Amino acid sequence: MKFLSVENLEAGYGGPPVISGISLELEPGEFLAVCGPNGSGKSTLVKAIQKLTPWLRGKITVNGRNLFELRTRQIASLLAYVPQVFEPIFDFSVEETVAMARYYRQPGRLAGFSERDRAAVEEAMKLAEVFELREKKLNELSGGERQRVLISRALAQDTPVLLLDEPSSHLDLNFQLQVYRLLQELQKDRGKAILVAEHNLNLAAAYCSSLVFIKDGKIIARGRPQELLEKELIKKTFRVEVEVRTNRSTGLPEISLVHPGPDRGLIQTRAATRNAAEEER
Amino acid sequence: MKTTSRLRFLQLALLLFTLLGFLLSLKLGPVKTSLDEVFRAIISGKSELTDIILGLRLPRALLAYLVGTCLSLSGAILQGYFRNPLADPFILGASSGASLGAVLSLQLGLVLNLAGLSAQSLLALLASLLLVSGVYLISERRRFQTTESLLLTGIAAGALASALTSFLLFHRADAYEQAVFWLLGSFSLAEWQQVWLILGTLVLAVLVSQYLARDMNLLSLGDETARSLGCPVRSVRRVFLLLATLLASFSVSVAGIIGFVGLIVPHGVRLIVGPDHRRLFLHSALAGGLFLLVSDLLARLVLAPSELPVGVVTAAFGAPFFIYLLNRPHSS
Repeated sequence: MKFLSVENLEAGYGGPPVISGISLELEPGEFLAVCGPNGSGKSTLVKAIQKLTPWLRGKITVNGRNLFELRTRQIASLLAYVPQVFEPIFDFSVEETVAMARYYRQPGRLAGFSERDRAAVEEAMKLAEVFELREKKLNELSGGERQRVLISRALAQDTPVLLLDEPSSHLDLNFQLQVYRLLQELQKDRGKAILVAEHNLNLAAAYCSSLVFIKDGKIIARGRPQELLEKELIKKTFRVEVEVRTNRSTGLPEISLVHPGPDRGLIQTRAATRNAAEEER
Repeated sequence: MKTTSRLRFLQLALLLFTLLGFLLSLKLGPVKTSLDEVFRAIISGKSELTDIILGLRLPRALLAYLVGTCLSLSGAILQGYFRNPLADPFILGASSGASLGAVLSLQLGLVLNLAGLSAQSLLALLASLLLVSGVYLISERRRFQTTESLLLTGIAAGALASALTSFLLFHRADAYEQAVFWLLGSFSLAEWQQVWLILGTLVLAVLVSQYLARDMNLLSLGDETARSLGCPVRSVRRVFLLLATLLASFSVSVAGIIGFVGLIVPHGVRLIVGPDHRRLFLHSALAGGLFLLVSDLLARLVLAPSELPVGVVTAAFGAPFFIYLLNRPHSS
């Protein structure tokens, strides 16, 4: 059995399920990106794997342990989750925020931080390059810095699996690369199993070991970036025309959008998209 | 100033002013009392004024202090619970329920005394607990309870209870004065039994809230994040809601409705000690006690020999202080 295994997962928020029939597996040292259009269920999938959606059915096992039989704190020692948006209400400092990852790694509620806890917090802050910011309040940070604080907190949780919901969404190009390089390092050097929801296909293709395409709550393709970055599949998944070429620095495929010419107005483009959607049905 | 030195400063100030507040509360009153007599009454119980100092002034000062700690702790809990620094102990309708109960007992003309609680207090306590429990159960019927649904149900139920209270008062105008006196809050009828009752509630709440304070830090990040960091969100939320409701309801039942303490004190303390609930809960409670002790002293003194409702004092002195805190330079 694989390290993380998801079988026939169905999840939602009370209404009809947002994702259904999802099965996937992840090994230590594997870096998987779930890609899909807006509303396809990527974020729900990432949350569902850590049992964070209000409604959930199926089977999830980590290292042979059934997640549905574990307590919240036991799950938190196996999986760490980095949310997409985070609006701090109260003004915790960076260090306090990262240290919260250790609360449930301690023997009791009233136990103080051990040396090991302190070391884990410090190392996590250094890895995500927020150590210099440790005394700053979260409200004083930029979106990119906050994102790195959240990643740092997940690292301090010291789990074999990392789940991230669109980690690049608030970041500029430079930080996007930094975050993905950090994740790749964690995957390769520390053997973490990493799963991200990501809408930036080029970023995912350059750094992830495999991709999953998800559409309308179902997985429609899975494979290595070289296999999935393919014109017709992307058109089917994202309803957009792309060209696929090889990135010179990585040797991996990347896409560029085919922009409709001036003779095809937006309305025509929409009509064409609609037709394509109907045909598909 | 760094948080640790601000913390030391706050602790020292709380200690000194609380001692001073108690001393003045015992010394000042319609009957002239010297400090010497106060000390004699406390130490040996052998003073001509012992009955006044230990029988009237001390329980009153203690009750004011303890109700202040309860309201402030309740406010601190609910502000974290709702992730909203504007939440206060009465946000879920505890005060509206209590008013309804108290006015109802006046209308019915009930007379009894149980553990220091009059019929009015007892009905206020019951109605307050019932209302908040009802609010919780109704909002839990939704498959996925959210804090927003709880909050809105609480506001609606509070409005309903207020409407019923107004109707009762409108219906029987003769109970109006008595009801208003009760609703505005006062410690003039303080008794030792009430002190023990509130003390018991407070000790329980302080111990449990301190035990779960780290979880409140996690809850203040949002339920999803809290759960992903290992917090059993649902059960922790239940415990905190129960504590906040007990604190608010018991306070209202012995002292009437005293606004503003549970809103401004935790907020002000958070600006000084930071948002970590392990520090916030305890210091909010201590500061709330001091705040209400001083407010009650002022309520007794400002228009002596007649008394102001203490709720008027808390708002009159609390509001400007609050505005200052919010708008002072470098505040968050």
